[in-house]
Amino acid sequence: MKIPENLTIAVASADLKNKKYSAVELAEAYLAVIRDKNPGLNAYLQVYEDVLAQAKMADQRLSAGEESTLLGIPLAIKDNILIEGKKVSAGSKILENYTASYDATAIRKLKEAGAVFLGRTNMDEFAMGGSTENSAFGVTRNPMDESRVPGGSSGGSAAAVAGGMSLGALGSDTGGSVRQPASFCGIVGLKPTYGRVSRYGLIAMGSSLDQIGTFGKTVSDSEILFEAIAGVDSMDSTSSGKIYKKSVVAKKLKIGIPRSAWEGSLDKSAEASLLSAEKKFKDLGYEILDVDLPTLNDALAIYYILMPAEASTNLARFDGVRYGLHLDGNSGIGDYKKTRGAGFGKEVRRRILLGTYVLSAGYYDAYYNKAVALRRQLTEEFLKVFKKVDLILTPTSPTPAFKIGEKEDPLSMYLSDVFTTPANLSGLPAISIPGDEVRVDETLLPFGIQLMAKPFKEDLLFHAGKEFLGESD
Amino acid sequence: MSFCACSINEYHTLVISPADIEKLAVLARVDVPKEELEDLAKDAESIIAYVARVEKKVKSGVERPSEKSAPAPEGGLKNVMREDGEPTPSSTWTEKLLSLAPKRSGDYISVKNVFE
Repeated sequence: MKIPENLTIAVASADLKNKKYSAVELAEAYLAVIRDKNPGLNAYLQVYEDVLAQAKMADQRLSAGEESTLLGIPLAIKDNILIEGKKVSAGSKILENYTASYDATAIRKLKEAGAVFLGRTNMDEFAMGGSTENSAFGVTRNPMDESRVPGGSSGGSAAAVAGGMSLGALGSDTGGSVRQPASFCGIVGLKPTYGRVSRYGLIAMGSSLDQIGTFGKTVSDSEILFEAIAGVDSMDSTSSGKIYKKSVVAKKLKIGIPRSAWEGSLDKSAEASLLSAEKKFKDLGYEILDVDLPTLNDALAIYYILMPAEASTNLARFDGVRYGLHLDGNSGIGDYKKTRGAGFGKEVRRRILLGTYVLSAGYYDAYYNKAVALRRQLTEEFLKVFKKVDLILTPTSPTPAFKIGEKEDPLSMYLSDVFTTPANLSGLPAISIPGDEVRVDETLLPFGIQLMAKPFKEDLLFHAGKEFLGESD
Repeated sequence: MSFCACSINEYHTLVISPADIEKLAVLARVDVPKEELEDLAKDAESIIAYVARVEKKVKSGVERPSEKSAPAPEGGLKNVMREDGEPTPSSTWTEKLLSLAPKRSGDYISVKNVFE
């Protein structure tokens, strides 16, 4: 079969149920696209050998009359989410030949729902980066313009969906790693509320920030995936017992824009896309207000203290003793140093060193504790603003997708997380949806706008996102 | 362990040298190639100079925040406890986990001698 243009999860699900095609045919069609496009894009690091067997199982369940929206739906999974018996490397040499010994909870839930996993997707090593250029296994190219990055760290998942190599995908978002690539590739990316989706089986970077997120071509598809993976889990004590309930939004929502945070400093493409989004929401009947978040400008600095601190701690587990790469040094500690030196790439080493620095005795009070205090202040400011408005609107990223190799120094790369990190620091749900495209050097590039909501109000993001994109609810 | 190799004065101009990076690398148990030290020091310095704005923002005398400081969205985070009990039967995971170890001898993970 040929994949119908603009096929979505929602439509494919109905087609499968109505026997327009089988799950095996659908999977075969996606495998053909992957064979054609992946050598150029490098979105998938591995396509699983059992895709058709998985699809066959889904067909059996479909024939038995089982009803699940994701039954037989082909998905791509970021290379840091564990699927039992499959390789998972977090884009790193240190885990190059590591095989997962259990299923992540999100994966277990998708298996129960009958999804078909096509393969694992490329990413910045240990999710550290905004372009996939930090992968130990080569850069992924943006399907919209192959000279540009797809964003990151979940760039492979975003490119797989945008390039028509998958219907949907999972990524992870610690500081924007789902939303920014969604913006760069012109699709929808959701970071749920902290605690909404179990982190069990997600290879950790910053445990107080990490959250598994979803990619889809539409807001509805993101919602379908989100509903499938959300929920409390005894294996993740930070997962929340709050049940996701879709509320009926009867009134017109209020949207706040924290304009004072970037007054005058916004890139003109971002400015134009934001203005146009603002107008569109106004036309849809939303009330737009200016809101003040005085600590928003410090979010990136707070983030780049807390995240390396947590990452350096989390990555201490990679020691070449229990799993992963092992290299022999001249002592036990020599083994660790040699293994970690050779197994981790430069950006990962950099963040481990930065984390070690901000946690060291002389600097703990100067940096780490102050960042923790400011993080609390930011969260309080957000909660105060959410008493006045239902949603906060910003660009997703300061610029559209940049060229491969364009950002050489790490700080300029970090700055592309300026709009996305606040939601992680304060545990808020946030979504990137395609706004107006912007023209750069004669090329039209996708550009995302971001909506943030109060914790556990993903339903408001879906509602406003669907209205914005003209999707039916 | 105390680590005060880098100097920081009240104007927040700080200098991170390649030697400092070497010391951090020892603490972090990660080998860093000699030719990367200079670069990493320069990067670290510009990153720390950027994030040091949090210092200015928070007035001195900020105490170590309590667990309240964690992001506490509504219905937020609490310590989660459970009673001991229902242990996993012995050897449930042994083979699965040991099969991942780079070096093993029998049912043990093998490492270098700590004492010669």
